[in-house]
Amino acid sequence: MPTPNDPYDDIVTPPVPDDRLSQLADRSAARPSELELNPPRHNGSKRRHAAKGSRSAALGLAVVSTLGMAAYLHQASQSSGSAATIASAPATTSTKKPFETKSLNDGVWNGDPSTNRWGLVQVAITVSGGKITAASAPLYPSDDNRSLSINRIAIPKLVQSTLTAQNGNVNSVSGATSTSESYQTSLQSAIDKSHAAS
Amino acid sequence: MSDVLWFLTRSSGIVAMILIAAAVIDGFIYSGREGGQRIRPEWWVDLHRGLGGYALIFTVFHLLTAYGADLGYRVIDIIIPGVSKQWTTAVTLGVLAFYAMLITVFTTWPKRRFRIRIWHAIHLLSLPAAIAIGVHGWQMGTDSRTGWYIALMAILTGLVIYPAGLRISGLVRSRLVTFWKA
Repeated sequence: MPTPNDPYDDIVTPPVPDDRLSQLADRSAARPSELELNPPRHNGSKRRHAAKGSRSAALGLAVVSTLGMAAYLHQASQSSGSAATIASAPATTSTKKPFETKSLNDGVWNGDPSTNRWGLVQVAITVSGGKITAASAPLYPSDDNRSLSINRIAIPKLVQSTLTAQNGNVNSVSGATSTSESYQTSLQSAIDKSHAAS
Repeated sequence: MSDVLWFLTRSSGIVAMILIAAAVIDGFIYSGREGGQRIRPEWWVDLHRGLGGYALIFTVFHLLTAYGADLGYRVIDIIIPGVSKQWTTAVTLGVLAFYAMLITVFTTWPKRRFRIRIWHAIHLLSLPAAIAIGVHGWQMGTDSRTGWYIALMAILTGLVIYPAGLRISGLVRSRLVTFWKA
């Protein structure tokens, strides 16, 4: 209904023919919808990630770093262990003797502490009747959890090996190479002291 | 095998710490609108979520390898704070930080269910978690006294402090503007 002051009230809109209306309706139906023209990049199950590439790169980098760093730390521990062994080699060779069967003097003998990169190892042996009847390690690396857990397992094995071998030729414990080497050095020192007492 | 797990424990712990720091830095940049014009905010927030999730995954891996490496910890030590007999403070900090990370990550997914203030308060747990992780690593990390680790810690600390400072100064500025307008 036109308002009283409508300036366009004299304009008469011509009626749209029915065939024109049906033509427009057909065209509208034929046109692809907005959803078809711009489909969403995600559906219900997959979310779109704006930083997908960067996330993948970060994850890849993190995995590679973890493995690479583990390898590096392993390598570093190996080379440090070797360095420690080499550094202590002169002292070791000067005191070490061939594993002899010479009888031992009875008593309790403390070996000299032997150093490796993780700390000191000292062995004490008890000789009775010319045989090693007891061995212990009053000193071993225990400053960190790793050393503690390794040596709690390694030391009893080394002690057992000492009692079996009855000399300084004890088997190294795998995973405790540094402790085994230092144990052998200190054990040999204790055996030498027992020999020297005669 | 135990040796392999031991080295993986160390490396995954360090990588998890880097990821947490990266997530925190990203979060500060995003929330402070400091990402610049060229990079869309969606990119920052998506990367932030990804880094947080990966940090949690690597932390779980760190815990599993630490347990598998037979370091003398019981399951209860890494579940309940304060029960570990070795390195009690450091382990407790690590466990608490792990829980804070869990809460932070798992409240992000159903974020819309929370009021924004409550969610924000929960999400800020990631900050003390990041600090606790740094202290945890420093106290009981086997490599924590090596030169490269100290350098890494210094770099990470600087990288976290810078966007944190920007965010805090932005907040203070906006509060002051609101105050003066009112």
